[in-house]
Amino acid sequence: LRAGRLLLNRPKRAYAHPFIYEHGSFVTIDLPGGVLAAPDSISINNRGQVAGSFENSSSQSHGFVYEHGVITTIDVPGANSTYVVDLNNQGDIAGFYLDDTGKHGFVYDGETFTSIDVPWGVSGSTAVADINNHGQIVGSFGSYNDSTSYGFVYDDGTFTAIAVPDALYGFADVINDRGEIAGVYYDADGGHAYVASPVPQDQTTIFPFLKAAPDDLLL
Amino acid sequence: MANDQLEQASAPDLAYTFTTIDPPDSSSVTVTGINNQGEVVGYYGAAGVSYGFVYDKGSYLTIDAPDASFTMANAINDQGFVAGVYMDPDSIIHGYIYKARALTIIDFPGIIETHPTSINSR
Repeated sequence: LRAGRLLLNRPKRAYAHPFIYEHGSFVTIDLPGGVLAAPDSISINNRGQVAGSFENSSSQSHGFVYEHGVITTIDVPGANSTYVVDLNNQGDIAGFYLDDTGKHGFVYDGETFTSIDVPWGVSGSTAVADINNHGQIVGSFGSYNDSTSYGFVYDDGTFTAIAVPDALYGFADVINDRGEIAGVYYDADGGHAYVASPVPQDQTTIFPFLKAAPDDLLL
Repeated sequence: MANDQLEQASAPDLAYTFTTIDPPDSSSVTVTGINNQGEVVGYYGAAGVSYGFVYDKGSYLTIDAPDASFTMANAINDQGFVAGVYMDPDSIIHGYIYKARALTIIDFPGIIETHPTSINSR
């Protein structure tokens, strides 16, 4: 199964539709708002559920999940806008929302919304990018000290910073079920991609965020 | 925030080794996916053209659709199928599925742009 979007008329975002493609056939999804928001963040899981975001006439964004012809709207309580970026095979939905205090991550398990705010980041700066099938979530947050961004991984209430050694700033974009994280970072030579592989701490010689330069990211 | 607060917030038993991914001749790079085999996909710019790539344990595979002015890889599943888009010489954007150096075009009939953004492993 593949999911994506169709653009029926290039200048008009209003005509973009999510689709599911399987074995040569397309199914299009008609959203209640009609307008896709964050159109490159349409995801499909192994159950065939499709998740993404759409805008209403007031340009507020809402998340959605599509399954077997039924669309369920996802709105974080109290949010001005909700953006869904990914869902896993359990149907857990990850994204971010905007309220009067800024940007916050969230995860929704079908019953409960949990806000994700990196505790040492700039208030209202947490952006979630991906969730794996263990419920681990990656994203990026703003640093108080140097006004740049760093990646993080969130695992059942615990945050770990993802900071590439010698990077000026960076982002954690995707995570697989082995906990491997990939993203991009920038140093004096420009932009690079990276993959970060988890290892037990006693096998690691350097944990740059915690051991090498913790003050860089602290208030 | 104090250092002890940071350590409380960070997982004490989790650390990472980092590997840089620089596709050949790239001037910019974007990551879009990683599958459970550790294959990383994305796209990069080189000499003003965008190419898709798959990185696998130190090896790079470039995805360059025929006659395309740009090619992007948007996702990869656990079987190694890559979903993405490319623009043809008439500025039409096509979707594609790529595996084992074979590219299959995914175009919704009569539509000006088809953008696959995700692919599952079913």
